[in-house]
Amino acid sequence: MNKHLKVTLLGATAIAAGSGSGLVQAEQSVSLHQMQYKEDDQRIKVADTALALKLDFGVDYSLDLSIGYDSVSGASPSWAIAEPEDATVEDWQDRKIKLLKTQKETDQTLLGYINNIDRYFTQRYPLTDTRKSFNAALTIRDKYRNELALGVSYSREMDYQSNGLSAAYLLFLDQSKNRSINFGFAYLDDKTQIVYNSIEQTSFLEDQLITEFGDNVIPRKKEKIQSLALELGFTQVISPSMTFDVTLFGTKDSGYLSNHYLRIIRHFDGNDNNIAETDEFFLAADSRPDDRTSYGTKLSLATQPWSWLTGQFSYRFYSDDWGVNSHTFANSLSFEVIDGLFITPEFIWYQQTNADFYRSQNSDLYYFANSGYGSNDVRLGNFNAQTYGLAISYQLTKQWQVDLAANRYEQSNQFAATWLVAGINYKF
Amino acid sequence: MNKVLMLVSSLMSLSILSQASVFAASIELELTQAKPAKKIVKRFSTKGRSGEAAGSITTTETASTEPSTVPSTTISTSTSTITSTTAKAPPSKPAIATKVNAGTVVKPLLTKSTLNTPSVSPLAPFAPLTALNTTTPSISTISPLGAFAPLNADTDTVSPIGRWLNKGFGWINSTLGVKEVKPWQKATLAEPVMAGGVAPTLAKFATKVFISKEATLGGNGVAGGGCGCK
Repeated sequence: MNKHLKVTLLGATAIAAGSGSGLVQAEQSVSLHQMQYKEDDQRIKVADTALALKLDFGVDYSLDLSIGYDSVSGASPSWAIAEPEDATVEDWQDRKIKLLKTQKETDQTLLGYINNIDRYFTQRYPLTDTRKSFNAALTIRDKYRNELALGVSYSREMDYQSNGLSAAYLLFLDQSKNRSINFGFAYLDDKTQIVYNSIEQTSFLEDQLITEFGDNVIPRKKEKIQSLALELGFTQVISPSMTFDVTLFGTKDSGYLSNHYLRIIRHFDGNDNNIAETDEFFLAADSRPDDRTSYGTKLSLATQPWSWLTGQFSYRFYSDDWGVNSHTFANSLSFEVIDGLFITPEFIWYQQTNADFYRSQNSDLYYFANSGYGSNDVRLGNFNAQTYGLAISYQLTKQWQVDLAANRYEQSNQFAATWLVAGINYKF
Repeated sequence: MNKVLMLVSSLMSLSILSQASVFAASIELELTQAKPAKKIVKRFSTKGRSGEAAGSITTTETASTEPSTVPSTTISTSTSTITSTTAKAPPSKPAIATKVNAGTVVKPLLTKSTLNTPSVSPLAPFAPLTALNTTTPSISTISPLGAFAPLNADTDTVSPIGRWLNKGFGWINSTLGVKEVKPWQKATLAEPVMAGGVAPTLAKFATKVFISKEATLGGNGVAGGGCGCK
């Protein structure tokens, strides 16, 4: 459940960053935003609503609270078996026996079998889910104005639950507070419920696997995922209108990091003739290592050459032991066209290399061996992406502000999505 | 007859010369008195313990380009005349001559007054100019709060561990030419558009999309910077 892990990790860390940056606004505020996300080709739709409250208690304490509710609907593509209309009971029994025998030869989870490779096809599996989340962070400032931010997070979905803790400490190094160091961590303790609910025979076979073969297979039902994120940041004020940040980060994930919504095709050379024959392919579960270690750095520059123009530029490098490396360039310019009206175009360029165990579903060699990790998840593939965004924020009064944003996201692998955000803020 | 004619001629020549000299003297007078004296007459009447006095004060101002070091005031009454002289007078003031006429009691109006007397003569020799100090004072000696701010506030505003760590970053200012930004220069840095965006929630939504559609994350969370704006 890589998707869940990432989202909850964001929730745990981002709120700590917001309170620990030292750049948050002095006003108390409440905000309500909603995002409408839609993928091309009628795939996934998401409606995400976030309510945030920021309170100051004197000058030494701040409290950030946020709750979120998002609903997901649509369909996610993955491998399936096209059942022959003229199949007999004997055919069904033969397939079952073949699957159970083959399962004894591998530590990977097999989910189905049919004796003709042409019967495997990509099917869209309906997907509906809701997610409720809560985040809180308390920021404490000492007499030197250093900041300690303590955060908790919680989220729950139908098949996933996440609990998180985070802490960040902002330490100023000079009396003018032009230089600071920020270090922090976030820890997540998550649980997931694995359900292979889209293929009837798969559920049946899985029960048989557990009963008949015991420890020889990996019948994963409920799994845990732990994640520890560490970051060390350094900020230098360059001039009265320019700051520079450099951040080092690392993450250690362990547990069930595969995606139980996704399947792959595995080849078992039953007669050892080194030829991939049409009846030697099996449906199997997406399989990834149970550990992942990543690290990276991010450089950020914010500058305001004129009072009506502000630029934000950043570069991030990422690398992990799955073989994924990425580069991200993010650029935005905020134009204050009239007092209180900001128009911000944004462009983000992203490029990543594929994981070592990834194979494209559309390539000639899309299947995997009878053992080892394997995934057709395009998110682990080799691609680049561009994001085009336009945001408008207008301060109606001293208290009220409205936000509107439109974004277009396009990957080189034909995936594309659009999202719109509307929100309102009240400062008091 | 010739003697008579010579006498008459001499007399005429003498008359012409005399008229010429008078004309010349008139011209000289106008040149030296380009601005006629201004006469101001103020009448007064006063009653005091010593009697009554009445009369007039006539003040004559003579415009002169030359500083008058001895302005005079003449008070004339029916019985006496007193002249007072101040020791020094500003050069730009016109010479004043005051005459008080009539009256019975004498009471000097100005006697060695020091009122409006400059303490330093403008004609005193100029003191040599000192060189202007055009260098910017360092923070250790000048503070906008003056006496309220300590000269070295490091120990009060920075934690000990912060000061210790800062020793490792001293090369930044010298190598990169970064100048210290004072707290009162951080108005721009404190603006929301600089400090994290006018609408930071928008970025959070975008980040959620990225981490659900890409294989990487990090750098947006715990760590970050502070500009000391709060």
